[in-house]
Amino acid sequence: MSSLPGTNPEQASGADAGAHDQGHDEPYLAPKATWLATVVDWATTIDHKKIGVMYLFAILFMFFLGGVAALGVRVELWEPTRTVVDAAGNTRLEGLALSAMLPDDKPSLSDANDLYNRIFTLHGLIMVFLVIVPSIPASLGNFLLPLMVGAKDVAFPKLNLASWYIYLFGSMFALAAAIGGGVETGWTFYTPYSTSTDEGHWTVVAMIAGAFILGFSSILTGLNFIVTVHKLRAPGMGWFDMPLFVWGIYGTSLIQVLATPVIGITLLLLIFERLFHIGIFDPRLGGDPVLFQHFFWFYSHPVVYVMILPGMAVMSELIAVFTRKKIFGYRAVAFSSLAIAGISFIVWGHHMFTSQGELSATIFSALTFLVALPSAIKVFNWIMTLYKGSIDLKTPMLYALGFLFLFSIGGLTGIYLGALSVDLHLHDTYFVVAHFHYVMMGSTIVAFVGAIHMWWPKMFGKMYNELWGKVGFWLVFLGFNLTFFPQFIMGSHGMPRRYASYVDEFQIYHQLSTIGSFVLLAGFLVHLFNFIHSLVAGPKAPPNPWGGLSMEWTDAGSPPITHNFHHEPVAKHGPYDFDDVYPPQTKPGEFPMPEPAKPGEHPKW
Amino acid sequence: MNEWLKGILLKPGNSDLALGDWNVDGLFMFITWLCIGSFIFVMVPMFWWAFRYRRARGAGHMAAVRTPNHNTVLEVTWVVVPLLFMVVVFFWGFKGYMRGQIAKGNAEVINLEAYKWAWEPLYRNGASSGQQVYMDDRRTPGENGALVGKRGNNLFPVIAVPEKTPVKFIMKSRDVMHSFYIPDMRIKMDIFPNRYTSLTFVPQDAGGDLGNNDQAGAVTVTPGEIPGRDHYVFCAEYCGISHSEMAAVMRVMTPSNFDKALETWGDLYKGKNFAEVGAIVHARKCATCHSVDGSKNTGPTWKDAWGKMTPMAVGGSVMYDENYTREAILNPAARLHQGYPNQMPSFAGQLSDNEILGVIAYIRQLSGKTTDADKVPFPSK
Repeated sequence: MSSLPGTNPEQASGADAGAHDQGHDEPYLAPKATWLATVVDWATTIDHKKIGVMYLFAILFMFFLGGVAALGVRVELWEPTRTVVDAAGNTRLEGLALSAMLPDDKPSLSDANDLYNRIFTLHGLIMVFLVIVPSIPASLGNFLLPLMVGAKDVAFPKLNLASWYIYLFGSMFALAAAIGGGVETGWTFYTPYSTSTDEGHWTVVAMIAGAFILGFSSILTGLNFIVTVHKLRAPGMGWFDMPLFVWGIYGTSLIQVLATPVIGITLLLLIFERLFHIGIFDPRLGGDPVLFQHFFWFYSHPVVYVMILPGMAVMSELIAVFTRKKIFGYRAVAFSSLAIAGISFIVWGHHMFTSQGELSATIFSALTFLVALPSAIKVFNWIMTLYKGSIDLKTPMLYALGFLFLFSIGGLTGIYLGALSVDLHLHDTYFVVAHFHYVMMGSTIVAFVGAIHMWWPKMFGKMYNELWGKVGFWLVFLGFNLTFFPQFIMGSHGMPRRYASYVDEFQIYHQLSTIGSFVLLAGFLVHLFNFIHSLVAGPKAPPNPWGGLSMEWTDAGSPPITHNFHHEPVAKHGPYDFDDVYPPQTKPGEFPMPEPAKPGEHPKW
Repeated sequence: MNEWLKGILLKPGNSDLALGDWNVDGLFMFITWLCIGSFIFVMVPMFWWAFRYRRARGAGHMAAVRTPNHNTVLEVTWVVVPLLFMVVVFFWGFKGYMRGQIAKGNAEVINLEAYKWAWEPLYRNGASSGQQVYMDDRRTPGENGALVGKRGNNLFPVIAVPEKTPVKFIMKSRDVMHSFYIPDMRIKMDIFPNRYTSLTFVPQDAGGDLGNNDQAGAVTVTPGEIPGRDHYVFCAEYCGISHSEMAAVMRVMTPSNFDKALETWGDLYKGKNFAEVGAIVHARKCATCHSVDGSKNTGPTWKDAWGKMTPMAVGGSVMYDENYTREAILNPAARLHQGYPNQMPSFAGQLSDNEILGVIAYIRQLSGKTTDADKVPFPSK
C-alpha cells in the first residue's frame, strides 16, 4: 500500500481480482447469476455501499415528488385569486391555476385553497423528512464513511440494513397519507390546528406516524456512524487525520442521536392528542399550544444543522480536492462542526419570537447570534483554501463555489431574523421562506448535487459528461436565484407565507419566482439525463479521477470491490497533503505538484 | 444610496417602530449594509482567486503554491470582528423589540378577537368594526365606477386606529392560532386560544382629514366612509383553508375622525330593520365562508337556502328554518351540511338573540321569502 509520489499502485484497480477471497474481489455492483438473485442480493445486502446507493435513488425519487409539489405551489401562485364581474353582473373567480386538478368543473375558492394547503404541506414534509434530513448522511455518508476511514463496512451492518427498511416503512406511511387525501397541517404540525383539522380522518395520524418512524432510521444511522468513526478507523488514522467529511458526518450523527428522540416523543404525544384527546397541547382540553412549539423546535432546530452540516462536510472535500490544497485551518473547520452541533441545541426559541415572553425571546436572540460564528469560520477557511491553489473548475467545483455564494446569502440573511425587532416584521413571511431555501436547498441540495458529481465515478465506475454537468449547474444556479431572491423582497414588503392568494402588488415577485422554478427544473432534468447517459454509455472511470488523497480514492477501485479494499489500508498521509503526496492510482504527471519543499523552509504568504 | 435601497426593500412605514428611536427600518438597513459588505468581502476573493488560480486548459497544469494553512491572528480576527457586529445588532434589535411590547403612556386599548377567518376589534365604547371594504378593486373609469374585479371573494373589515396616539392591541383567538401582522407598522404577534398576547405602536400619519394617502394597494374609500391612511393587515400564522383570505385594512385616522368612527360604529344598527342588521352581521362575521350570491365556499351559500329540505352529512335531511339556523350558529358541529367540513366556530355569546333573528331575516330575504317581521325596526341601544 505504498503511495510514493508518481507511482501507480495497481493492486486496487479491480483487474487483478485474485483468488484469496470468495468472490468478494468483484466490484460491488457486479450482478448475480440471475435477475432474481440480484434483486434478492440487493434487498438483503448488508454492504454499506449498496445501502447507500439504494438510499440515493430513494432520496432522488422523493426529491422528484417534493419538486413536483413545489412546482404546483409555484403554478398556483402565478396569479392571485380574484373575483371578476362581467358586464351582465355575473361573477366568476380567476387565478385558481391548480383547480384544473380538481374533479369539480367549477371549483370554489375554499376547495382551491384547501388543495393548495395540501400541496405546500406535502412539499414541506417530503423535502424535510424524506429528502434533506437523510440526503447526504444516508446516501453518501453510508457509501463513503467506511471507505474514508478505511473500514470494510459500518460498525453494525445489519442495523444499517434495518435503518434502510425503517426509512422505506416510514416513507410508505407518508406516501399513503399523501395518496389518501394528504394533510393540510403544514410540515410543522402546529397545534391546535393539527389536532383539530381533518377531524376523524386517518391521513394526519398516518403522516405523523411516518415522521415518527423515519426518526428511528435517522437515530440508527447516526449511532452506526458514531461507532464507526470511533472504532473502525484504519491503523495510523488519528482524529485529525480524518477527512473533514467524516468530521461533518460525525457532528451530524451526534445531533441525530440526541435530538431525534425528542421529536419522536412529541409526535407520539400529538398522535395521542388527536386520537384520545388527552389535552397536552389543545387549550380546549387544558393544554398549551406553545408547549408543542418548544418540543417541536427543540428537535427541529438542531435538525436544521443535520441538514446543513453534511453539506459543509461535502464542501471541505470538494474544495480541497479541486484546488489541490490542504484545507486552511483544518482544526478550526473540524471543531466548528462540533460547535455548531452543540450550539444548535440552545437556539430553538428563535423560531418563536412572536409566541413567547420577552425575557426568553431576548435570551434566545442573543444565543442565536453565537451560531453564526462557526458557520462564518468555515466559509472564511474554505475561501482561504482557494488562495494560490490549482483550481480545476469541473462541475463539482462549480457546485462548491455555488454553495459558497448561496450559503453566504442564506447565512447572512439569518442576521435579520435573529434580530428581535426585525424578526417581528419578517417572521412567517416570504423572507423566512427565501432564507431557509437558500440554506436548505441553495446549500444542502447544491452540495448534495456537487457531491453526487464528485463521487459518481466512485459509486458507479462511470464518468459523467463534464459539459452537460456544467450546463446543469448554471441552470440550477441561475434558476435558484431567480426563484428565491425575489422572495426576500416580497417578504420584507410583508407577504406572509403559506398563502394561496395574495394582494396584487406581490404578483411581479411571484411571477419571477415561478419562472425561476421552471429554470431550476430544467437544470435538474439536464443532470438527470446526464446521469442516465453516464450509466448507459459513460466512459469507464479510473480509480482516482480527481487525484484525491482520502482512502476511497487512494486505496479502492471505481467501483470498489465488495469488501472495499484488498488489504486493510494504512493511513500514511493526511487526506489533504496535496503539497507532498502525489495521488496514488493516477497516471504520472496527471496532476500538478508544487515545488518540493526545501528542508527547514516554511511556506510564506 | 441608503434611501434608494430602502425604497426597494421596504414599503414606507407608518409607526414609531418604523420611524422612531431604535427603529426596525434603521436596523434593517444597517443589517443590509452589513450583509452587502460581508458578502463582497467574501465573494471578491472567491471569484478573483477562482479565476486567478484556475487550472488553465491546454496551457499545461498550473501547480498549487505552498502557503501556510493556519494563521492565528487572521483566524481570531475573523471571529472577533463578526462577534462585535453581532453584539450591536442584538442590542439594537432588543431595544426596538421592547418598544413594540411596552405601551408608551396612556394607550388606546383595542381588544382584538381572531377566529377562522376574520378579525373582530372591540373598542372602548363597545363598538366593533363597522366598515367593510374591497381590496385590490378595479372599477370602470369615472367617479363612481362599477366594480369589475376584486381580491378574493369577500369584503375586508376596517380596523381604525388614531394618529399619533399609542395603541395597544390585546388579542385572543377563538379557535386555533393566528398572528396579527401589519407590515407597514413593522410588527406582528401570535394570537392564542388560551391566553392574551399584545402588541403596541404609535401610528404616525393619517394623511390629513381626507386620508388621501393609501398604502394598501387599491382600497377605495367610498363616499360616506370615514377616511384615513390604509394599511394591509394579514394573518401570518397558518390557520387553514382561508388563511390567505384572513386580511383586514388598518386605517390610521385623525383623532377627530377616529372618535367619529367609534361613535358611528357603536350604534351601527340605528334605524335599520332586522334584515338589514342581518346583512351587517353577515359582512362582519360570516362573509369569509358564506356567500350570498350562490357560489360555494367553505360554508354553504345563503342564497335561496331558506325553507328547503337540506341534506345532512350524516344522512337524511333537515328543513332549513328558524330552529335549524339558530342551532347552526350556536352549535355548528351538531348537524353539518353534506359536503362541508366541520370548520365553523360557535357564535354562542357572540351574537345577541336579536342579531340571530336579523341573520334569519337576511337569509329569508336572500331566498325571496321576506316576511313582514323582517322589516320591523331593529331595537337599537
